[in-house]
Formats: sequence, C-alpha cells, structure tokens
Amino acid sequence: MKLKISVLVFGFMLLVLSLAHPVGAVSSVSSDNYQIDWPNLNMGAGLPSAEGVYKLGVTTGQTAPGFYEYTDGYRIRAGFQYIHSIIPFSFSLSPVNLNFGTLSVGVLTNEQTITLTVNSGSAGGYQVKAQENDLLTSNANSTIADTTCDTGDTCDHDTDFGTWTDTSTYGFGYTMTGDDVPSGFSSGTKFRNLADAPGEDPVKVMGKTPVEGHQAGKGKIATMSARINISSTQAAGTYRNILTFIAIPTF
Amino acid sequence: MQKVKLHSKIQNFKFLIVIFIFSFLFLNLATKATQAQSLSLSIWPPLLEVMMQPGKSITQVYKLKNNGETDLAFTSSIVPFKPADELGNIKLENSRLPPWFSFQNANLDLSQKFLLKAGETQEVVLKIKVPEQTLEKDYHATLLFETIPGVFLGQSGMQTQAKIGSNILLTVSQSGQPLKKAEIVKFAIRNLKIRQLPIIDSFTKPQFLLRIKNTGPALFKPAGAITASGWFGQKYVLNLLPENVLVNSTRLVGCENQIDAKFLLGPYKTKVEFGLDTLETDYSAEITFFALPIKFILGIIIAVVVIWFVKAKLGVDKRLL
Repeated sequence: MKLKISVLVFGFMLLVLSLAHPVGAVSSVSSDNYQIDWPNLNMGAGLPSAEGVYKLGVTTGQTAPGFYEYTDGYRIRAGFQYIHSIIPFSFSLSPVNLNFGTLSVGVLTNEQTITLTVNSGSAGGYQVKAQENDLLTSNANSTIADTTCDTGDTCDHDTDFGTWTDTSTYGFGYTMTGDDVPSGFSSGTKFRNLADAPGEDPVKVMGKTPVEGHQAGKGKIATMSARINISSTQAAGTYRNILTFIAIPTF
Repeated sequence: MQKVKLHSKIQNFKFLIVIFIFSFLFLNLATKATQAQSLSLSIWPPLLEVMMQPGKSITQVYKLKNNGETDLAFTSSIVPFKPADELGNIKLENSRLPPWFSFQNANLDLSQKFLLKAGETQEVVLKIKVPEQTLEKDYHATLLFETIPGVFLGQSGMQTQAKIGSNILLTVSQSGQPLKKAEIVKFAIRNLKIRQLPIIDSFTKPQFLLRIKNTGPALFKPAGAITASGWFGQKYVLNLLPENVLVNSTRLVGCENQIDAKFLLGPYKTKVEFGLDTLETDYSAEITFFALPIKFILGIIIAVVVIWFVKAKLGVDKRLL
C-alpha cells in the first residue's frame, strides 16, 4: 500500500514539475557560480579589468531605439526611423535538416520541404538568400549535379527559372511557394539551381521591401521544395551537403 | 464483499491515474523532441546608423536570441556589403573591413565560437573605434551571426545553416555635416493605363515611381513629400519614406501613405519636393497625370453594344415572324 502511495506521489510530483515551467528572466548572465538578472548596465564608467588578473563581465552600451545625438563627436540611431517598434528581426527554419532517405531512380518524387518563417519586426524590409556549400557529394566523392531544364525549355537554371516535369531530367533543384517569394517560381511550377559557394553569390529565395508593399511586423511564411532525381547510372552512396540561408533586413 | 469491491475500484482508479501521468509525460516529451526539428533566431536592432569623428569610439548592444528548442553553436563576423539593387537589399562582399570592430563582452570576442542555449538571449556589445586620420567617407557592414551545423546522421540529404544579420551604416566625418548631394533620376507614374500616356483609371490609386541617386560623399535620407493637386482644389500629400540612399547608388523611394480617395477625375499636378535629412525643398520634380473613368466608359460601351446587338437580333426575329 505504501509503495502505491509512493508511486502516486512520485507521479504527481513529476506532473507538477512537468507543468510548472520556470519563469526565466528575459535576459540574464549566469554560470555555475552566479546569476545576474540585469546584465545590461548603461551607466558604466569604463570596464574594470586588470591584465591577467581578472575580467569582469559587464555589458555597457546603448540599448534603446531612436536617435541619440551628443556633442561628443558621434551620433547613433538604432532601428528604422519610420518604424516605432523594438520587435526583433526573426528568422526560422523547419525542419533543420532535409533527409531524403533512399533515393528512387527516375522519379520526381524525391522531394523534401523546408519552411522559412520571417517576422521583419522593426526592420523596413528583408531578404532571405540561399546557397549550398557544394554539390551533393558522397563519401566516395561522387556528386549529384545541379538540375538542368526539361528538354525544350531553353532556360538556364543558374540565372533563370525552368520547368521540371520530365523524369529523364536529372539532378538537384528547388522551387519556392508562399509569401514574398520571387515570381519566377510561378507558384512552385518552375525550378532553379542553388548557388554554389564560394564561386556563386547566394540567391534570393524570399523577401520584400516597403516599395514592393512590405508591411513591417507581419509574419511571412514560405516553403522551399527541394527535389533530387537520379539516373540508374548514379553511383551508390550517401550524398550530403550544407544549405545556408542568410536572412538580413534591408538598410 | 462491498469493502472488497470498493478497494478494487480504488485500485483501478489509482492505476488509471498512474497511466494518465505517464501518458502525459510521454506525450509532453515526445512533442518537445518533434519541435526540436526547427531553428529560430532573432536579432535586434536590425539597423545601426552611426556618424562619428575619426578618433572616437561608440558601443551598441545587440541582442541575439535562440527562439528554438535546441542549443545552438554560433560564430560572428563583420562583413562589408554594397547595395544589391534599388530596393535596399544588400550583397555581402568577400573583402574585409579595417579592424575597427570588436566585442566589449568580457567572455566573448568577435569571431569566437559560442553556445546559445534554447530560449536564451546573448547580448553583445559591439564597439566601433575609428582611428585618427581615417578617411572621411561611408563604410557599410553587416554584423553576421551564423550557426555551426551539427552532426547529420540521416541518409542522403542536406544540413542547414542559418545566418542572421544586422546592417551598420557608418559615416566618418570630422564636421558631423558631410556634404550631401542628390539627383532625381526618375519621377513618374507606375500604373499607367494607356501605354506611356500619363493616364490612370479613376478607380485606381496612382503609384509613383521615384528614383533618387546619391551623388555626394555621404549617405542621406530624403525628407519630403509628393503632393498631388486636382482641378477642383483637392490636395493629397504623401510623405516620402525616409530610406537610406547610399553613396553612388540609386534607390526607389516609396511613400508612407497612399492617396485616400476612391475616385479621381481630371488632371492632377503632382510635385515631389524633398531635402536631404532635413525637411527642405532643395530637390523637386513635377509631373501631371490624368484620371479618367476608363473602366466605366468601357463598361458603358460594352453595354451599348450588347443592347444594340440584342435589339438588332430581336428586330430580325420580329421581321421573320
């Protein structure tokens, strides 16, 4: 009987602990030995330190938005003049990795999607660019080339958008759908190559500016659909690379 | 007998509670594992504009937050940029800036790897120190934080890496009032209805195209407005967005608001006037556009044609009868 009560008490405690999320300070500095819940000190008079003796973790500097003018030889303005907000610029990816699993030969169904979410917050506009570090490469150094266009489509995927409906068109490519994606993707019916680092500059996959009708503070969601189609002569192996997304506000 | 039944019921109830608790915990943990498949970052401020004298230094706090549910490893860098287009987008360059940028944090230097736990914010204090004798001009850079990809255990596929940045516009000036010069490259109506004639439909709001070029040695923001005046004394004032126009570049400048009329008619004399960082009328350009009820007239023409056709058809039918 005592054991059962113990099990119940244990279970209840676990439940309480699971539900009771700790209320964390918005920003804090901590280590095993200390915690400072107000790390941003705007009245610092020089950083206290002694070379080789100690180093004190004090954060000083301007935090508020707006325009600051001093007769001290400098002016600082943090944030956009016409957006009265301190909401940060945010960028999210989901999932983190694109796992294609075992690739089938000669089909257009080896596809994986990744969702990009941007909230420009206090930024005037934004852009998200993408680039791959290399072609999809196996441990044996075999590669899956960037896709070419369907026969009869005269596009150049590096600079243009093209159709990919033919199962005999091989390689790796992507298309975009959703908010603020370049119109060339034609609602996900046209595909492109990813730019290869370091030779090729990253290309814009998402973004909008005020002149194009961007409204600050609105969350935007787009989906990248990545596709691989291989021929029967593709060397067996596990092919991988790194896809980099660069999210930057406008100036 | 009743005692035994009651005891049995209590036993069952306890068993159910234990099952419920374990199910709840399992589901709760399983959800967390699924959500950990996303990555979410935020940065503030998104833009820093600094004007400073050679020999001076400033600091600015940046906040980088890991909004995701997994800890992330980061590194940071300062990368120069140039305008990528006329919309305010940037193109990061491969060149390097002088070593004027550093972090003031005691335990973190620029370019140093650091770990940011899920849900936590890293504050970095960026210090910009411009040496004496520095050439007076503009310097543009992006403070970039990038994740370091972890181990990928899947089959064929791609690992992702995220970079998030904030732009820095630095003007080095001894006087604090560098020379500013601009040129209006184009001022026109975008949504013309009839080829290149300055005619729009009365039910359409005019969209203005204003391209401003910076021909001086320092960046500026246009401060002014577009004013459209109609025949009957109507006046619409559209404030220009104070967008940064960088040296040797042209920028499309939009307006904060639109003409708040549902119907426009007749000629509209439209003038853009702006100053550079100050609300002046140093620069101006003028155009005239006409608002005509094109869709309405077309609708009437189509209706007349249809009525005429129907009448003609009915006339023929009557004669046949």
